[in-house]
Amino acid sequence: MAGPAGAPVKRTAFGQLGIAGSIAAVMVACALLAPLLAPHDPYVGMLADRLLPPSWLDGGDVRYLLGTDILGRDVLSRLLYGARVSLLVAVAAVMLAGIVGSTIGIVAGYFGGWLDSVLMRIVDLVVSLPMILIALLVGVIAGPSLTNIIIIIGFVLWSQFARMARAETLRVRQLAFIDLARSAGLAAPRIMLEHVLPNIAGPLLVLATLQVGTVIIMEASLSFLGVGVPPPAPAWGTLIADGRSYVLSAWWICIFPGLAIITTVMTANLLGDGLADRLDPARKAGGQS
Amino acid sequence: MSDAASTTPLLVADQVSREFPLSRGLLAGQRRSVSVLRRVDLTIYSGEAVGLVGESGSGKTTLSRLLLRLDQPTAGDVRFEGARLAEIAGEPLKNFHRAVQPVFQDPFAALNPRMRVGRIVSEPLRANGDYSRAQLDERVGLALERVGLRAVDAARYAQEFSGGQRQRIAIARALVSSPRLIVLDEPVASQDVSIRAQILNLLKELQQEHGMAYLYISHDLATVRFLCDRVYVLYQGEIVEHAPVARLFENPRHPYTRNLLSAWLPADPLRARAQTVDAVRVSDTLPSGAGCAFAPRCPHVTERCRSERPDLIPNHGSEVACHRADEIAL
Repeated sequence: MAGPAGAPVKRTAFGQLGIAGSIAAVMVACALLAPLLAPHDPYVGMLADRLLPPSWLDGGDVRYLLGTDILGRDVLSRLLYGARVSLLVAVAAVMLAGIVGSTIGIVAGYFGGWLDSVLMRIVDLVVSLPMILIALLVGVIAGPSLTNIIIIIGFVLWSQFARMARAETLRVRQLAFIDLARSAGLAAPRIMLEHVLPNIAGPLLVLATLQVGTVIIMEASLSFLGVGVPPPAPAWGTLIADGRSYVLSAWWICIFPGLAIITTVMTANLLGDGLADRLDPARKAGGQS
Repeated sequence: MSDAASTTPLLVADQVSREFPLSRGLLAGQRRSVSVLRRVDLTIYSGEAVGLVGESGSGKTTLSRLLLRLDQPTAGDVRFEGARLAEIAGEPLKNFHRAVQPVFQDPFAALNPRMRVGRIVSEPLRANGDYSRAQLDERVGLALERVGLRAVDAARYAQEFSGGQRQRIAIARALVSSPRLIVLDEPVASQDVSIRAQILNLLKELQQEHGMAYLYISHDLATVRFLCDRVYVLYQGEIVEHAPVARLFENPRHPYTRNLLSAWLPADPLRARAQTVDAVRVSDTLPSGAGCAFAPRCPHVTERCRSERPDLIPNHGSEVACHRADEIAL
């Protein structure tokens, strides 16, 4: 994750990509180093210290920078550990959905015809499924676990990648270099891999980063319903669900996880956009033609 | 070059037709289609430059796609060295892909913006055989130098080149597999006049050096005259005239060819031929299927022209599809 920020920057100034990359690097570092950074055990609360406000407010305690929850657990520590769970779920589910969905979308768009029709009707079917019901069903049958929630979310999201990959493939397929590759005798899988994928990677990357935010919210919804990340693990969604009842009296329990989600989503969007700029040689060349 | 041509044709279109189905409406009963090419015969021998001229929509590009195996005819055959193109596979197909290379009109869409020039140029080799990195680099370098670029340009992206340079890259790619035929679909139509001349001179030199055949598709008669040995004239999906290039320009037999030539301004205005003005507007000119395709626009039209399709038959050293080719005074 530190790559984009650390890479040599020649033509582009240390702008959007640098800032987004830095924030993302800090967040990932926080997630990885949570055991070292967290001041308290995220799972064990001090009942004597329950519902303390953040330290800079009246009644705040310097030991609990962002306050404590109903069981006296440190909000900051839970937030740091929660970053691990939420980011892992988000990245894994988006990667799963991205790989499956893009492959199906490119194949549908490249070959067209009946194959396209069949694949896209399956996509329509998946989109029309009530996600929460499916998730509940799978959750009840398989039991809530980290792996299951990744698979469930991946299953819901791949259709979006398939649709975008198909539309972009239709755009790229009519460009002359595809006909030239076919004239050279290049096999269809290699055309899709070497010619189509690199030319549609930008929009897919932007979609993937947008989806990171969506997944975090989905995971929160599923966790709230009890079929998401199993309860003791402090996913950000679970933290918001925990603080929901106290939002007026102890707003810090759900506001800080909320801010963490907002920051993550915005960072992911900036990162995706910046990467799209960086990866596109046409935009990189900047006005020489 | 046609006198040096061998007797075995390299690539042949034999009574080729291509229809595109129109999407059927929910209520429409019968399936309709647009006929883009009708029973086209075209032959290319080794080492000769063949021109294919015609106005926009005449089917030039559709025909080139059939010849490149990018599309299949709905009737008739395309044959490569005597073998039906639709049926060949395996090593003969790889041989075809090495032997026949296209260069398209738009050099901006023809080069993948995500690939370095070296990978673009080496693709016809990589797709059809095992070559070491060193072999690829060497052949790419030679091809680039041959078209007036540098071997080190292989490491750059296509965006870094101008339109004329990009067309040179596209030609280098077509050259790299030592092809026997290059299909040039309007290769200079999108270029400036000065670049156009450079590219045409390059093409002419390359042919003299390597002796490959060209199928040069254009609506620009001056460039056809410069580059080609024989010319086919395509009108609304039918070959209406086929002649050696000098013959076609000196003595066009088909009324449509005359219209084309009269629309073309030679460099020397004193040599300009008498204008045969196109008397009929291009409206309602879609051929009904029966009769001559050119009948709705032809100043010499008769009843027979409207009802009976003329065949392409020899006429004073040309081949002409016109019932009245002999009667029409020059």
